[in-house]
Amino acid sequence: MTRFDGDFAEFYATRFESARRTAYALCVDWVDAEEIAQHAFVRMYAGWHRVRRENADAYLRTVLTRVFLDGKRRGRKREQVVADLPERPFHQDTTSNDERQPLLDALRRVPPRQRAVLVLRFVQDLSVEQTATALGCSMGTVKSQSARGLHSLREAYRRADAEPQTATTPECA
Amino acid sequence: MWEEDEQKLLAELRSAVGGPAPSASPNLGEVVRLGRRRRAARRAAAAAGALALVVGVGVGATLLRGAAQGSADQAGAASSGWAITTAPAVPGWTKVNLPPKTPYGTWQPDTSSTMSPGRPVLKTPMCSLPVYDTRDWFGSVEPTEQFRAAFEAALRTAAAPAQVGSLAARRLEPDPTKGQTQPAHDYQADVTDHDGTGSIRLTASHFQGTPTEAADHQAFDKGNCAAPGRQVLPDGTVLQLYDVRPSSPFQSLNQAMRIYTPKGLVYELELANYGSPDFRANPRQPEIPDRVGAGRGTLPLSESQLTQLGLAVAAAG
Repeated sequence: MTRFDGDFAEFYATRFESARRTAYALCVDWVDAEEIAQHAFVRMYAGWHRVRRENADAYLRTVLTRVFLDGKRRGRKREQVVADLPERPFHQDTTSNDERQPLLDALRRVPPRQRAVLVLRFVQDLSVEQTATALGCSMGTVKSQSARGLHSLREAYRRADAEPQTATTPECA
Repeated sequence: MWEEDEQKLLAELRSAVGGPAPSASPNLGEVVRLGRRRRAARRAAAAAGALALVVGVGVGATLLRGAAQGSADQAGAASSGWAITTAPAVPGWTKVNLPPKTPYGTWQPDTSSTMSPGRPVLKTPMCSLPVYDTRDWFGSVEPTEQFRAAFEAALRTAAAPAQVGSLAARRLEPDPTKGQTQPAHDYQADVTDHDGTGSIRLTASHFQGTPTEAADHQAFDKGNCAAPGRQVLPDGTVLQLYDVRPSSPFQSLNQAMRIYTPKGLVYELELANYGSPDFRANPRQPEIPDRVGAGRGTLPLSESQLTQLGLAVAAAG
């Protein structure tokens, strides 16, 4: 392994899980979250020689968000020929009730760009300026998208609360 | 109502997306392969643009840049400073005579997982997964019913006095939108003793070449840095035993054995320190339940028990 690859491998090993969780917050789907995270790291690798370590986390956030918004993940998926074998899922306890589900359903109904703002601002706890940098937009846009996103989330939650069994199509699929 | 309380809403949101997560399967090897391809494509595009402007200068610059990168890569590989931790010898097994890989670091639990009290963090060296462009994936072969029955019987014998649950079969249909063309199959069973519940998973695939060639080719498939253990049976079957590997979430433990038969089939047996009690239903994605339990402190079978099972698989396969 080259030093270049070694540095990247260390970064990948220490950031993959948090990137996957951020991606999950964006798309509310674990399979797609892993796909998004992997694709973001592919882009990171391609430009790794230009990335300064002190800015690597911010760069990763930017790439991750843009991969989510671009929705260009199908190229990697085409290389898989066998149905995915998820890690050890079996003997499901179908009596379990996930209390998080209504809010996750509501989050999924928020338009993608507003959702990205909500996740970066309030889940990742970034400043308006940092969020604007990650999304490549102005701080004013972040503020307005935050307000709209919160409104969308509340409305979606009210609807989900009123129709708790309504199925939704995964945004990231 | 929380809808009126923005702070509470946001706290709920953070909690919702920060809940239990299924196991991840990071694949650094694939990232590097695709990243190199992307970088090469970008360079090719840049070179083509330059070529359109100044043909001679463009070609020369591209060649020089490629040569410089190759030299840098070689220099970096030669000067790596990581030390290899050789895995302890496994009784009855011979270490494969392959040079060890250079670790990129040691295992670290992710910050989102809670470690069980009293379980020290394993300082296992971590190496990159190999990159393969073409191969049959594990799960692409559905073992015969007769084989599965023989496996289940052998598992109960090897695991005794531990209790073995029923062998749960899954068939996952291919998703054409993901370019998948074949279903995947796996078979899992809980193994429970006084230390708790773990599990074992059986998958199968094809390989090309001889059993030894395939085993060599897949010697570092688990991200292991030290060469695996191996036994070669008189009929040419190769058994390959990988070291125990930690993974997220929590500090999950896995150990795999692969059995390469002269018929061109390879079976993988993978032990895990967690089983069905450690999962909770995921209504959104029923095929991927949430992992909520850390599992037991050890694997449910010893290496000698796993070896016994592997020999039975070799006989049945």
